Amino acid sequence: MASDASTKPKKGLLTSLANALASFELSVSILTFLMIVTLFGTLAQVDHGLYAAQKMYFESWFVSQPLGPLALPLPGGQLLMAALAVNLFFGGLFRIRKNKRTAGIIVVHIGIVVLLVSSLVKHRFSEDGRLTLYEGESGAEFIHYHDWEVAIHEVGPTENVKEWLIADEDIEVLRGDLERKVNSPDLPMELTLRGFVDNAKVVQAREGMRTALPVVDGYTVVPQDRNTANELNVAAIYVSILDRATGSIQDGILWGQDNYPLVVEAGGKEWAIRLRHERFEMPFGIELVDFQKEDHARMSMAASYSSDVLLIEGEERTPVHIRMNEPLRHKGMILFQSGWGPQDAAPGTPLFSTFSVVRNPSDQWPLISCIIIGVGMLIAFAMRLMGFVGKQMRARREETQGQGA
Amino acid sequence: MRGTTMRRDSIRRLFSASLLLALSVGAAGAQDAAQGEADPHAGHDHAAGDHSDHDHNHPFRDFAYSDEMLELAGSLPVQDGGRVKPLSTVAGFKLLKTNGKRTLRVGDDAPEGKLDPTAWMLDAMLFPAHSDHYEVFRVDNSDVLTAIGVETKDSRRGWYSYEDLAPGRGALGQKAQAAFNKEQKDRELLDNQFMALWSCLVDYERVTDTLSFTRVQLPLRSAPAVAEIYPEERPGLSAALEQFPALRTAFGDLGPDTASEDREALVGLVNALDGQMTRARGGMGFFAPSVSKEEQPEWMDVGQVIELTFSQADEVEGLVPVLAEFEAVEQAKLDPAGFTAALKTLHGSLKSRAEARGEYAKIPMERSFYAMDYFYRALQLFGVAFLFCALGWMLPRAGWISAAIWVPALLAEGLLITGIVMRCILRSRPPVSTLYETILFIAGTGVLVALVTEWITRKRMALNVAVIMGMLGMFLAGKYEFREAVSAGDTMPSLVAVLDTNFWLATHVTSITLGYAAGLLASAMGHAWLVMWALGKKRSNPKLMRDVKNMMYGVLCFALLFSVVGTILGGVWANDSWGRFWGWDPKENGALLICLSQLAILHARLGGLLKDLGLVLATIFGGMIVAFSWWHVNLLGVGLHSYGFTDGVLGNLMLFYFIETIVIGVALVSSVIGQLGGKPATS
Repeated sequence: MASDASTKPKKGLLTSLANALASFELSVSILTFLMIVTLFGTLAQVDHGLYAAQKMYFESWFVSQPLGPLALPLPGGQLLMAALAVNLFFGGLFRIRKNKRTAGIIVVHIGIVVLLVSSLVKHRFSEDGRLTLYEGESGAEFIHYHDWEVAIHEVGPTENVKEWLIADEDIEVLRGDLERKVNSPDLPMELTLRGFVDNAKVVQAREGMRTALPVVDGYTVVPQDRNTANELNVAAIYVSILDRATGSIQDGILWGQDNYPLVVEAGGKEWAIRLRHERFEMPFGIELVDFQKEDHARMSMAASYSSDVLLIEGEERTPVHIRMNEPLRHKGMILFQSGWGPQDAAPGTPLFSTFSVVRNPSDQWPLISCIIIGVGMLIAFAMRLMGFVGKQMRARREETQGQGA
Repeated sequence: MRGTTMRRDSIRRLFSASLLLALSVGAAGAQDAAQGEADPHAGHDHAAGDHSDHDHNHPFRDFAYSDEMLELAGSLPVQDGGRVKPLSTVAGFKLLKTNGKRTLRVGDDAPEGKLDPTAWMLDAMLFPAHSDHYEVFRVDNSDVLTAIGVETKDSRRGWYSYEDLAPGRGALGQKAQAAFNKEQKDRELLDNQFMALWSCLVDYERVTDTLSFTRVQLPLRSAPAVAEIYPEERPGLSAALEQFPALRTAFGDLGPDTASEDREALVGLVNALDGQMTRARGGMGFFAPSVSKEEQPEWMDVGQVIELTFSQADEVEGLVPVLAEFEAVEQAKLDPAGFTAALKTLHGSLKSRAEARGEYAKIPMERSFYAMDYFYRALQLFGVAFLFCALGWMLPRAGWISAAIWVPALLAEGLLITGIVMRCILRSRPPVSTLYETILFIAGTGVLVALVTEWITRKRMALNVAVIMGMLGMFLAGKYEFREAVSAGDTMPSLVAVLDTNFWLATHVTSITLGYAAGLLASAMGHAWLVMWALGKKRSNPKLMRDVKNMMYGVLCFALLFSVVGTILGGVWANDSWGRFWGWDPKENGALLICLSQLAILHARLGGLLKDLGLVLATIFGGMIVAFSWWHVNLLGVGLHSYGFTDGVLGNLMLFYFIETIVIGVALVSSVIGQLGGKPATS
């Protein structure tokens, strides 16, 4: 990750900067900070859960690590990864001496670059979620594990229903007094969103009930402690709908677990508004034909579970078997067998199967990087080992000759 | 599996419908006949703590079990924990779990004086009243007994018999249930001990109940309808089932005109069989089905055999005679010759049923694996080698010492590798798929790398490290085997669905474990360097110091290769299983920490930021990170990799961290003092 120790610095600001960015000192500092952040981020999962710890430590630019009454400022995982990429580029690829001795190391560094790029592509461009189907059911969209969206559509039409969506990043920041007005020329109304709560229940407001949040139509939002397993949290948000034609305002509460949408009138039509986990379309459909779970003999531990599905593309139906460690890869999508239920189903009860669904352009890049890194390390360390063995042999020969003389 | 469950349920419904039919025609008083008139042993109920087989007026054998008897009994195939294994393996782990050791001293209570697992299990099955006296329950904390009202012995840890514990059984059950209902993080040490003792107690009762069906004498009333079917007065279970078709016909003929005497007798008999079926459910799976293992992987227990008889299934054919062979063993238990013959017949039947499904082939190998006790013998040989190592430190110039260390070390390593290979064959798996196996593999590969290093360098340093590492590894394996016995009942358990892939077990798990092994070996070599440094070898033998440091550095490079490749392969596996390459799961982070620490060390060395002492201390610190990744992350209780039984490990880990921190701290302080005192810099 750095130039050879004997590289002499040249004058000039840019050169000095390049030297600093290529230096072993920077490499060691980044690696050490990465260790510290990884350690704290791992331990934090006990109290905060994986999702929150990941956001706080690994997908952040800076971390404020509590140490008793103090807070230790640290670089976040994102900043460290960026610094590592820069250091790797300058030191491990650009400034490093290029000769037989360093060939293996350069190959390793190329492999690490591929790995970092694949992580970046995954982070920026991938989508993941789940698709749950009962036997006999089919579906062509998957649901995000964590992110929410507000969806609006007209009530009535059953075909070619157009949806207006407000994305997670636009609503999850609306905490406390923050609010956002949402307008669309295609909609006869203006939405004002406010009071987002990560995990909440919506309950009937009783007389004398203490609540800091507004009561709407006799109901209010009661914030709950966040589950460390983030996918179990159910969000809620307040919404006001202004009918542009009449100027009337309707208030409502959107809750992630509502069975029915909030229905309002605007522009002489009825509109359904709901808060739900973000959804993504797949370029094909899936029908679950059969789900099988096999236990180990005379045990209740699952030995395997798998699903027979039909891959639906137009009129075409292709049978596919998906099981643990054997996902379906098709048209840039990957479907994994990840769950099933109901867990306590009586024999004969229809079962459902849950698939993790991922769209990841860099799906197989880590494997390529692994091969490159492995080959590079083998070259580097084999050369070193041969040098060491040769040296030992020579030393022993000299020792023997010395004794003979 | 769903098919199997459904079939069983339909059988159950069929039988229940018949029973309802009988009851609807006016059969009364069935309950009293069901169990009450049976043999005094029948009808005991574990849940209620009725251990009536443990009546003390029973004769006991006056002969020691012969090798042939133990071989025949020990190699009876049984399906347990998802695989077919010899009865001796089941016995070994149950005894280890209960007693803390694989042998049981019984003094004058049995002709042998000391029982091996199979002998203990035979006594518990055939002579439960007698085995109740054996002090087989290890209780580490006498407070457990005080809390359940059982009289304790003098010391905190003691061994107790079932008879000793029986008065506190009810209280123990309640305490264990209360502990079980708590969240794991809220359980105190005592809670875990209540649950552990309860589990041993219930296990023991199940063992003693295994052959209770052979002592059953079913209740017959002298009704003509029954006398026609069963000429003998009190038939055993096998005789009753043998004639079950006739019983079923008589049962089907029941009608309003049937004499009440006949009706009551028939219903009473059927109810008694139903009671036996319920009681025997969940017992040992001795009965291999006659169909192929692909068609029906599950073996049956006695309860299922009775159930099959009720359902007229074809599979039952040939199983009832096997029940009779078990009864013959029970009847011959006081006669050595008859007992051997009965065991031989039973063994032959069970073996041929298993062989017909291709499930017996590994039984003899597993018997020999446990009989050889490879890892304990390896520990002994490493111990011998260590004695010579110690002698070598006192007599550094004695040339013969090297050979004296090499011989037992090589033999020990040979045993260790043979044991690992045998486990691979027995499990049809790569060498590492459980935490226990990581210990064996890390010890095996660590020692191997150290021996190869020694062969190259001939400094005796790597040889010493190999011996110490092997000894510690085998000691740890022995300790952890006990924990596996407690938690999983076997060190070759069935694997969860995601681990059912030999490709990834062979690539990712093996690589990452090799990385652990090399990281720890490098750390061990660092300790060796540090000892020499403390002894002033830097001045007296600088070449040796340099060679050891180079060895350590080389092993660290080796560790980095396998840690990085193993970690990335783990990500590739996760990408295939869960849809993401990296999920910041604690185990993944642990592996990343190892890679980062080793990369930081190598870069710091290349950049001249670490001199010799710094390199060594950083490598020792790297060993702590390996320990964190190997064990500690599993203790966090979060993530997808929290497998393996790790209770009690935290204390040992903390001790390890503490010692290593002291070692590093003392070395740093000494170095600073040395430099301040004007001595030449040590490193």
